[in-house]
Parts: sequence; structure tokens; C-alpha cells
Amino acid sequence: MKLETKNSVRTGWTTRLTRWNLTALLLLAASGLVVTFGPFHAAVEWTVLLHTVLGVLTLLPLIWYSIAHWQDYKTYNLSDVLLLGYVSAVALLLCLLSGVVVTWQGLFALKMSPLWRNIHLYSTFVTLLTGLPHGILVWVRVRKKATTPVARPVVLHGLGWTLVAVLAVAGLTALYGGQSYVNEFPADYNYSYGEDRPFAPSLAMTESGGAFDAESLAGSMTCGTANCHSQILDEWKPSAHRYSAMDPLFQKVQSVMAEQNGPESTRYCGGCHDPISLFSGTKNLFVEDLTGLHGYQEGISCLSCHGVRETDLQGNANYVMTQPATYLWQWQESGLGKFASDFLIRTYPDKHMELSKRMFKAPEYCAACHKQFIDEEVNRVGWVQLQNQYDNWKASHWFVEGDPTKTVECRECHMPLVASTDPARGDATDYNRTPGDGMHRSHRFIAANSMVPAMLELPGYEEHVRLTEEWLQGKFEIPEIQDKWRDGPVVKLALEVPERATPGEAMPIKLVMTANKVGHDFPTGPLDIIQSWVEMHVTDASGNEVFSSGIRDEKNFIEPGSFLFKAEPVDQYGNLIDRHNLWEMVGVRYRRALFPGYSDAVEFLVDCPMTAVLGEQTDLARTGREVQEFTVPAGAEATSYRVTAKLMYRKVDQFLINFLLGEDSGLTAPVVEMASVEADIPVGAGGGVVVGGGG
Amino acid sequence: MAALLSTIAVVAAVAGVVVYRATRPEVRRPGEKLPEITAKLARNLPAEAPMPRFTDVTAAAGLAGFRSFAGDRTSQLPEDMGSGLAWGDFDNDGDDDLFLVSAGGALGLPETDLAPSRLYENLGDGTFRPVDGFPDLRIRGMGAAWGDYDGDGWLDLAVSGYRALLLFRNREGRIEPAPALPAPEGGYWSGVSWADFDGDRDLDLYVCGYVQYVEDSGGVRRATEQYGTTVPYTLNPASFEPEVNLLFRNDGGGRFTEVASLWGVSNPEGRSLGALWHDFDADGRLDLYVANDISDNALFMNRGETFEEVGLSAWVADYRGAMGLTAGDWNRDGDDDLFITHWIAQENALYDSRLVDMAGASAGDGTRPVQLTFTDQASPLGLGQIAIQRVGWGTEFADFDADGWLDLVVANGSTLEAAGEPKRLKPQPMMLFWNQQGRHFHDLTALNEELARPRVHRGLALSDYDGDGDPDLLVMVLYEGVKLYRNDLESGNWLGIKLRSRGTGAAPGFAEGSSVEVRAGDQLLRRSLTRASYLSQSSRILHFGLGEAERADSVEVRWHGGGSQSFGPLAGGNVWELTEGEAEARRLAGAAAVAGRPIEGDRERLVACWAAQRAAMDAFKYDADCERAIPLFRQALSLDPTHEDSLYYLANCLAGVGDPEAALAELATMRAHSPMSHRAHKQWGVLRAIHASEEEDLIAAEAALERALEINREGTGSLLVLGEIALLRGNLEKADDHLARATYTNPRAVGGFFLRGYMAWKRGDEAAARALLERAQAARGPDWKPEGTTAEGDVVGRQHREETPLSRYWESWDGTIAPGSAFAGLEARL
Repeated sequence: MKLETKNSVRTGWTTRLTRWNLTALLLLAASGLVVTFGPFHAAVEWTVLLHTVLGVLTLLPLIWYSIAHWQDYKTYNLSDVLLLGYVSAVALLLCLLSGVVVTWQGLFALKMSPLWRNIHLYSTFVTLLTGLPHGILVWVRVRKKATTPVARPVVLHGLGWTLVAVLAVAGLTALYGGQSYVNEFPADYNYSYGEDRPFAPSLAMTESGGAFDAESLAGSMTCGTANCHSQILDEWKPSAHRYSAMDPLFQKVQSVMAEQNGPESTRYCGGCHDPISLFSGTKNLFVEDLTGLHGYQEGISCLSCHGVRETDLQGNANYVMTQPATYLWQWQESGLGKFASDFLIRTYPDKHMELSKRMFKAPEYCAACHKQFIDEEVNRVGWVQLQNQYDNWKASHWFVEGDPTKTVECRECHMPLVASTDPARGDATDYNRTPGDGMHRSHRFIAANSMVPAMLELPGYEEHVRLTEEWLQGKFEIPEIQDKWRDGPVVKLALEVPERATPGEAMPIKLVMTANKVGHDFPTGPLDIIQSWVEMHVTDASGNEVFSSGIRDEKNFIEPGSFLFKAEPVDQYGNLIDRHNLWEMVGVRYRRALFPGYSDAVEFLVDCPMTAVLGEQTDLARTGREVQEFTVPAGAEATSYRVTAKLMYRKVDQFLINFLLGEDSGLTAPVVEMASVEADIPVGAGGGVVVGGGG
Repeated sequence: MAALLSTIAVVAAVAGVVVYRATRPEVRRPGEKLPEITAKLARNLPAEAPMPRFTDVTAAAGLAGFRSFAGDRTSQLPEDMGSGLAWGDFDNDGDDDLFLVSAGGALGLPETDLAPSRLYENLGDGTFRPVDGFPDLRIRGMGAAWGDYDGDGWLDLAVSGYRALLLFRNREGRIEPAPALPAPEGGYWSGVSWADFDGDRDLDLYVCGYVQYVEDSGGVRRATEQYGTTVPYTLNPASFEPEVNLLFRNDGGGRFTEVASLWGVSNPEGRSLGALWHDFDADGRLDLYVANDISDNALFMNRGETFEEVGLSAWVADYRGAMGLTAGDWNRDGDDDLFITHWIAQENALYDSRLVDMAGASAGDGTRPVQLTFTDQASPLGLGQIAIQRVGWGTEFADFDADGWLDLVVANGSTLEAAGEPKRLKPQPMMLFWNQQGRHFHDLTALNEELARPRVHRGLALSDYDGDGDPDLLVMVLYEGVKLYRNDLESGNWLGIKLRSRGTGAAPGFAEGSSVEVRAGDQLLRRSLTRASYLSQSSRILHFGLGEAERADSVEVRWHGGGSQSFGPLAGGNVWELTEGEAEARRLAGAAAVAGRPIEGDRERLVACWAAQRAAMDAFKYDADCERAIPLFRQALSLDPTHEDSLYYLANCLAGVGDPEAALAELATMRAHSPMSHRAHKQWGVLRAIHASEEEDLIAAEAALERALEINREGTGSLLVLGEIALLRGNLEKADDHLARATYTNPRAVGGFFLRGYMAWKRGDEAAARALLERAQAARGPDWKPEGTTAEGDVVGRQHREETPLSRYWESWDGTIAPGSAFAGLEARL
């Protein structure tokens, strides 16, 4: 074995090439290990950037060094040192190659591939595990014969530059350490429900128990830049989660509540409707407008859901919100900072990945807001159940514990799969999905509100309204649950009419309504506001209407005496809660809704062709059906009658719109015909009953 | 050797191909970037440019119901020109109210089918309410302007339109038609502008005439050229003779004389759309600039006895199709400049006044006319070419971000028909320009989804309607209605100034045409009370963005009638009223706080009010202690007399302690203050009926309940009580109808079934009576629902009681299905 001398090889201990390249390797390895094993911190993010820049700058020198080193020693006999050197060199080249790939992906691709990231990581370990013994063994052999220290200058050089790098990172971090938040309540914040419950009567809580800067939960638009989650962002824009705070009706109700019951009490609404404003302390006695700009524009922003750490089954926004750590320049929407931020998210993604949690699939997670009650703290009287989609679903046939072939959970209907280019497409943990399915769950949260998106003309509202109408009519198809969902309308209608109408005798017309597709009560939501009703027409053979029910008048009110699915909540004196003034609600005068899979019925008794006498109602409560009978007039010369029954739906009753937006606003909620059914009754002697279904 | 040669040959051939391919010129691609073509006028947005946060609050403000057009257009000019709007505090409550002009509708429509123009009152909480009693005004409207022509201190209103020119007089907040102006019949009147041009301290009115339009549906099919673009004959203003303009001199006592020709401002060759009064040459007399479509614009200098048209010599006789017009000192050089919006394929114009630059050359002291000139700076400043694809209409200067520099907004919307949709015109986005310290105007529109949304915009005007210290934006959209964009920009300090000039009567005038110069730090900020835009009128409160400065160090007002006056210093964040001849500025109340910003008002009062209200509610609801709650409610109401919940629970407390008359009085107050409160009417009706001593009481109760039912027809509560009252008054048919309807909708209406059973029993139908009693009994039971489920309204125990005139009869019923005993008490009562 030859011993190196200063002049015989280019890559000996004492050459500048060796010194600089070993320093570069040390810096790259050390920074890489910091990035891999260090905590999430701005300094580490700067280290990522430094590591990348250093890697790019030293890529060619390292290759050059490796080749020169090989050429210097290729004639040596095979030994442990040489073998270690070869393995180390191959690993280093692999590390450099994968470094180039992940840098490229970080800069220009949608996401970094885990494979290349792992190659980069493991090749680093192999390089270190073989390179270090290689160097140490050589040093041990050389130092015996060397007259001057061989390794010390190299080590000192490396350590010196490492110190410089550490100082540089510290300096850069001091210069810009990322977005800093002002997590403070206003000085005059009113703790009317106790110092330890700043957000009561909402049950929502922050991880720290204190305020969160509004900006820290906003910034949804930045999620859709650089084409990352742009599809999801577009779905969210016209969705109910997005307009939960900007909804003009919500805004008005909130201001009425503030005027009548005190601004702080609107925190009750904020946990679900306006968390950004709630947590930033905007819902306070001394502010004019209880929704801040960020809260208004983003409602349930991306982070309002993805930042939740835990939820409780109690409902009323019983969740704990975290303040997700941000990457450097994360809230910038364009420019170099945005570019760097995207690069960091892709190449250093672990913190970002924490925003996706297994919990988000659970119906219990949705229940935090989709389950509501009033208690004494709100109405000063006592507990009242409000909308509760979760418990109804759980008690229904749609939930079969442990059996995904029979269970349909919230997301399966309301977040159906859509073809996706999103970096987060595919899912190995969802039971009817695979990592390579090329889909994501729609963040449109399609449901029953076709009013507000159009009213606000949110981006993409036309499509959203169209899908909502399809949804209400049961025309919305979800292929992945086709085998366990049902066909046809949301609520199936069936008419039972007599085979013949006999002049002078009553003809009973019965409409049976069955909850078919709906996964919770129909209708659901605030039943003081939502209305679904039966519109019934009986026409004679010439098309003259001889009876109708459920017609809207010229002011868009449904005529008194109609069959309505809704509730009439009341205050202590039995006066209607008609302004969504839930702070006064103590119970209901009546409610009517269909439980999944159950039926209700209304019956009209038509005299043929006698004069009208308004009829009777029977409560068939034990069977879960209501039968309502009417006696109605029919034309004297009719030869047959046609009966048409429709189930109608609107999101907001007319009074509330008039009250909140003015009688002269001319506004009314769009009405959707969810299903209809027809039957003909010939006039003549005879009897029997014909049953007709429809959709 | 052969191998070597062939290798060389192959290598050479490959190298030749490579060199050939490498040096071959690339085929041109459409749209490729070439270094020889530069875009020096293009500016990247500077980092300090604000985010243009304008929020569409139209619906929330209650303006979504307004419609600006009815029917389908038939491709005739008067259908496409659109309309404007006018901000003005007609009720003198300190905030700007709003008059919206409707373009009416299609030419063929009868007048009764036109969409009406409407007056909206600003309620001071960010919302508007249509004013009851404003005349039903169905015209093919264009412009409007508020002006106190009778000098009574209340703003009157002029409204123009196709074949319409109307004046409305304001009698202490009540708007009513005034005698007609002496105008020619059937004209096509566009912009209207008030000003005291003759210095006699009353307001005169200038009315622009557009064209002498001839209705001719056949002309739709004839094609003509408009600035090189083919348009239907009936849509081309050049197809028609220009209409003259009118100048109505105010002779006092509500009389006007038309003197346009006499004073030389009738502009018979101009197809005029708007005019702006302003003292361009600072000689103390108001001059007049007129924007004309397809004809030269005119600048009329006021020479005291007559006007002199100097458009050409002043370089502002713009030949392009001018629509909108505004004036402002965008570069802070101490004189007001003009911005004019134009038709498609024409740049907009920014005429920079050279008045101050030429101050040495000619005096503005009135001794000799100033040779005023303007230069068009639109293109170098980024306002010119950007507008080529747009048809511009309403426009205003305003300092939207309060950085001390006037920004600019333009409403766009084509006059060309949308492809394949002749019933609509092509929509276009607005333009919002941020003024970068007088160096450049940057278009920020793309950063705001709402402003960037294409619409057929027309009129535009600004006002700080919500009193938060920044100008908000209202724009008229043809066919649709209006869009109100609330200004949510992060902005600097500000100052508002309202001018009151000496008038003819006891009340001061509104100083139209006056100018104000504010010095704040090293800034010279100039605003003039001159409003045109397009057919519109912005607020008369002058808004100054102060940037970092917290106050105006000095304020100089140049009154429209000549003479100037100094005020100040004035603190920012306030609206100040400066009155001619009075030394002190007056701080105006009513500048409200903004979203998320602290309330500046009386915090102690607010805290006291809520403390009393909460103590009252706690006493009443938790402790059921009405005696204690009543004074607490009264205390809360003394601080906030219209607080609805307090009134309601006070009334119920009073009824609870046996004072129904006092309760009725509180409910009556509530009914008056909250006419949309269903429970106010219902509870009053119920109490009145329960404590009725005579038929009149029942009649009054019935009326109140009918009002409750009218407000909300879908609630079954009022139906039930109305049924009871009908029964008490012996109207069985009516009672049956009300009660039956209530029970059809509400399956839990025990009283409804019970009373219907009683009526069946009285009819002698014992079986029906029994059946109904059975239903009443069933309705008392619990709701059916699947086991283990919850439903909205579930409670641990019943927490409400609905007392009605007859409720005690079914409440005391023991549930036996025997009509004789069940109805005995009721029978005795009735």
C-alpha cells in the first residue's frame, strides 16, 4: 500500500479540495440531521433552505471530488478501507441524485415523493456509516507515519464553517422568524361567563385557553395557490362552511341577538359559525360589528376544521382548537416568499401533514357542530334540544357498528369522492378508498342551502346551486356508495286514492311520505326556519282546480292549514321564536320531521261533489304516521279527477327574511320541488283503493 | 483507414445536423415574448399597494330588492344608457340617505310596469329602508341630484330621464312633487347639476339634454357606424340630433326661468350626458364643464354676465364619446383636474389642470381671464390604454386607503350586445386604481373578486354610509339593481368636512361648488364639492385621507360665491361642519365605529344598560321575581327606550303582577317601535282579549292578532287565539275555519281540537265532538319518535305556558271523553 504525499494525489488530507468537500459533507450531513430529527422551528426551516442552497452549490464539486478520489486510489488493493470508500461513494452519489430530485420536486412539483425523500435520507445514513469509518481508518494509518497532524486542519476547517453556518441560521432566524401572532384579547374584553371560559356560552375552546390572532386561523386562499389545494379551495368557496359567517341572515340574527341579549352572548353562535372572530375576541361588548374581516370572509376556514385537536360528543362546538404552526412566509399569496413557503411545505412536510387527521373521518368529529342545544346559560330557563344530525344518524339504520358495507357516514354523502389533481389525493385509511384512487373528498359539503350562495353570488355559486337542487331531488349520484345507498328521491311519495269517486260520497286521498335517502331527520337543521310542505292539487277532467293545499300566497307565505314539516319553537309565553331568537326558546309548540326510514301521511277527504267542510286529523303516533283528513269540494260535472301531490322545500321561511332584510327586499327563499306524484280517480259507482307511487 | 474515414464522416454528419438544427431560426408562435417589444408603461404592483378589500353588502344593507329595469330590451338607445343614484341626507339625521334612479324598462312597456325609482333611508346601522310615502315614481329615469333650492335647510331632489324631468320638494323630511320645471315637452334629459352660478345665493339647475330620440323599432335592423364599430341605427347616438341643455335660474319662491341660451350654455351641438360646476380658474365664479357623447366636450367659463366656451383653447374639447366625469387634485398640486370616461376603443382622459403651473402667467384675481389649459396625462399614468376595451361610465376620485392620495374608481359596462344574447349587453368589470403618490395609477381590480366580476355597470357614487371613516362604493347595474361595496381597506387617518354656506333663507346652504384645502403635515389635500360621475351624486361630506397625520393643521375653505375662510386645527377621525361666516368648526355626532373597532360612544352608559337589563332578566327568569324585575327593566329602558326584549318581558312582568293595562301600554310601545314584531302584536291581542271588558276590546284584540297573522301567516299561535276570539264574538264559521287550519298544521294544538269539539257538540254532532276530544287528549301526550332518538324541542319538562282567553277550559279538563262534562265550563262562559 502506498502512502499518500502532498503532491502525489489530488484528494489527500492536506489538499484544499479535500478540506472544502469534507466541510461541505459535514455541513450537509449535520443540517440534514437537524432537519430530520430537530423540532419544527423557524431555525430549522432556515436550515432546510441553507441545506438546499449548499447542496446545489456543492453538487458538482462533490462529484468532482469523488471521481478524483477514486482516480487517486483506484489502483490500490482491495481492503476494508477501500471497500468502505466504494460503498460510501455510491451512497453519496445516490444521496446527491435524490437530493437533486427532491429539490426539483420541492421547487416545481405539487408534492415531494416519499420514495425519493427516503432514498435521500437512507443514502445519507449509509454515506455517513461507511464514510466515517473509511476516514477514521485512513487517519489511524496515516497519523502513525505523518510528521504533522493530518486530520486536525480538516476537522477544524469543518467545525469552523459549521459554526459559521449555525451563526448564519441564528442570524436569519432573528431577522425573520415567521409570522408572529398577537394572541391577546382586547384590553376591554368582557368575561361575562367567567375568566376561565372566555368563549362561553359556546363550548369551543382554544388549546391555550386564550385568544388566537384572527390571522392564525385564516389564510384559506393561500392553500389554493401554487395549484396545491386549488380544487378543494374552489369547492369550499361557495360552500356553507365558507359563508357561515358572511351569510346575511346569520349576520342579521347575530346583530339582533347582540342588541337584545348582549353582544357577548353571540359567542354562543361563534363557535360553529364564526370561530375566527370568536377566538380573536371580536365578539365583545365594545365592538360595533361582531364579525371581524377574516372571520367574515372565511367563516369555517380551512384551519377552522383542520386545526381542531379534539372534539366532544356534547355538541355546541365542543372542540379544542390549536393554532397550527406556520411555515415561513406561509400567509403570502404571491412572490418569492410564497415560493419559498411552498418549497418548505413540500420538502419539510411533516408539520403540514399534521393538519390531516384520522379523526376527520369520524361522524363524531362532525357532531361537534352538527348537534346543538340550548341550556340555562343561554335562555335562563332550561335545557332544550335543537338540531341533532349526529344522534339521529347514529340511531338510524344507516349506522351498523363495525360493518362498512351497511354503514353510511357523514362524509360518504356530504363529501363524495371527486376526480382529483390534489397532492393529497388517495387515501389508504378510508374503507372504500385506496392510496391510488386519484380522488379527494369534495369540500363542497353539499346539502340543502341553495339560497345563500346565490344571494352572495359566491364564486362558482351556479354550479353549487345546481348540485344542491339535484341533491334535494335525489338526483345526485355517488357511485362509491351506490350499493348501500338508495335510489330515487330523498323522500318517497305514494298516493292512495279510491278506485272510483262516487258522487255524493267522500273520496279519501292519502299521501304517504317515507324518508328514503336521508341520513338523519328530514328536514333537519334549524326547524324554526326550514320548511318542507305538501302542495296538493285536485283538478277535474277539464283541468279546473277543485281543491288545493299548500299554496304560497302573493307574499310567499304558505297558506294556513297546510301540511308542514317544521317546528314552532316558543318562548315562555308560547310566543313564536320566529327571529331565530334562540336565547328565548324554551320548547316547541309542535314539530314534525321524518326519521330515517320512517313514514308520515296526510289524508284529504274529498266530497264528490258536495260543498267543502274542513276536516279532521288523526294522530297515528304509534305507527309513526300522521293522518290528516280534509273534505273538499269537487266539480259537479266532473268525469274524473287528477290528484297531484308535491313535496316542497325551502331553507328560510318568509317571515324571517322579511324581518331581517325588510318586507320590501323582495327576497324569498328559492323553493325546490323535491318529489311529486300523480293519480287519477274516475267518477262513477264502485270502490276500492288504488295505490300510486311517484318520484 | 477506411474505418477511420467513415467514423469521421459519420461524426461530421451528426455534427452538421446538430449545428443545423441549433442554428435554424425558430418558427414564430402567436403570443411569444420578444425582447424588442417592451411594455414600459406596465408596472408591477408595488409592495405598498393596499389589498382592495371591498365587500358586497348589498343584500345585508337591504338594497338587494331594488330593480333598475323591467322587461326585455328592444335594442333602442334609451334602454341602454342606464341610470344613476344620489346620496343625500334628506332627513337631516347626519347620515347619507340614498335615492336610486331606475332606468324604468323596455320602451314598449306601459308606465305602470316600469321598475320604480326609490328613496331609501339610511338607518344608521349599515342598513337602508325604503321610505314610506315617497311617490311611486315610474319613469325611464337617468340622473338625480339633491339640492336645497328653496333654502329651507332640507335637501330637495331633481330627477331626469327619457321624457321626464321632475322636481321634488322636501318638507322637513317628507318628499313631495314640486311644480314642473319650464322645460320643453318630451326631452331626453340626462345629468342634472345644482349650483349657484349667478352668485345670488340660491341654487340653480343645469340639465343636460342627450339626443332627440325618435322611437322606431324598424331602425333596430339598420346598421350604422359608431367610431368605426357597426351598431344598430337605434343604438347609435349619432343617428339622432343633439338635444339642447337647459339652465334653470332660480327666481325664488319655487319659480325657475330657463336661461341656457341667454347665458350661452345650451350647447346645442352636444349630446350631453353630464355636467360639472367648478371654479376652474379660481376667479370666484362657478364654471361649467359638459361631457358630450359623440360630440366635443365643452368648457364654459363664467364671465359674470355670460359664459364663454373655451374647450378648444383649453385643450379639453374632447371629441370622444364621453360618459362619466369627475374632478379631483390627484397630484396634490393645488388645482382640480378632470377625469373623463369614454366609449369602447377610446382611452379614458385625465386632464391635468395647469392652473397652478401657470399662476405666474395669469392672475386668478378676476382682473383678466386666466388662459387655462389642461394636458391629458391618462396614458403615462396608467389610466389610458387600460380602458380601451371598456366602456366607462360612473367615476369618482376618492382616497380609499386614506394614504393622502386620491384613488380612482370607474364603472364599466359595454353598449354592445352580448354575443348570442340580444336581450343583454356585454358585462365588464369595474376598475379600481390606486394612486401611487401621484406617480402612477395601479389597477387593483383583479385583486377583488367582486369588483372584477363583469356587470353592465352605469351610475356610481360614493358615501361613507356606515360612518366608519372611509368612502364606500355604490354602483348601478343595468337590468339588475345596485351593488353596495363596503370599503374594508386597511386605511390611514381621515377627516370629514361638511360645508354650510350662507343661503337666502334662515337655513344655511350646502355650499355646492366650494373647495377645501387641508394642510396636514407636509400634505396639501384639496377637495371640491362638485359631483357628476355619471348621472350620479356622491356624498357632500368631503373625505380627506390624512395618511400618518392625525389632524388637519389648517383648513382653508374657498366658498363658491367667492371669498375664503380658515379653520383649524381639526382632529382626525371626525366629521366637522364648517359654516360660512362662523369661526368655529362644529364636530358632528354620528361618526360610528367600524367592524371590529371599538365603540367610541358612551361606554359607561352601555355597561349600565346591560347591567340593568341582565339583572332584570335574572330576577325575572331565574328567580321569577317580577316585583324586583320591573324597576330593573324600567332602568334598562330609561337608557335604551326601544329595547325590545326589555319591553316584552316588562310587559309580561306587569301582567304577572296583575297590571294588565300597564302591560298593554308597554306592548303598545313595542308595537310602535317594532312593527315587525309578531309577538308584540300577538301578546297585546292575547292580553287585551283575556282582560276584555267589552266588545270593543275583543275587536281591538282581533285586529292586533290579525296583524300578527299578517306578518307571519305560517305560525299557528295567532290562528288559535283568533279562533277563540271569533268564538267569543259568536262567529262560529270564522272560528271553525281558524281553528281547523291551526289543527291541520299543528298536531299538538290541544285547544284547537277541544274548541272544535265544542262547536261540533253545539251543532249536535256528538260523535264528532267525541272524536275531537279524543284528538285533544292525544295531542296532550308525548310526541311519537323512535326510541333512543332526540328531536328538536325536546325538553326535560314543559317550560312554557300559552295563556289565551279560553285556555283555562281545556287546561282544567280532566281528559274524559264526555262532551257534556268536558264543555260545561266553556258553555257557561259562552
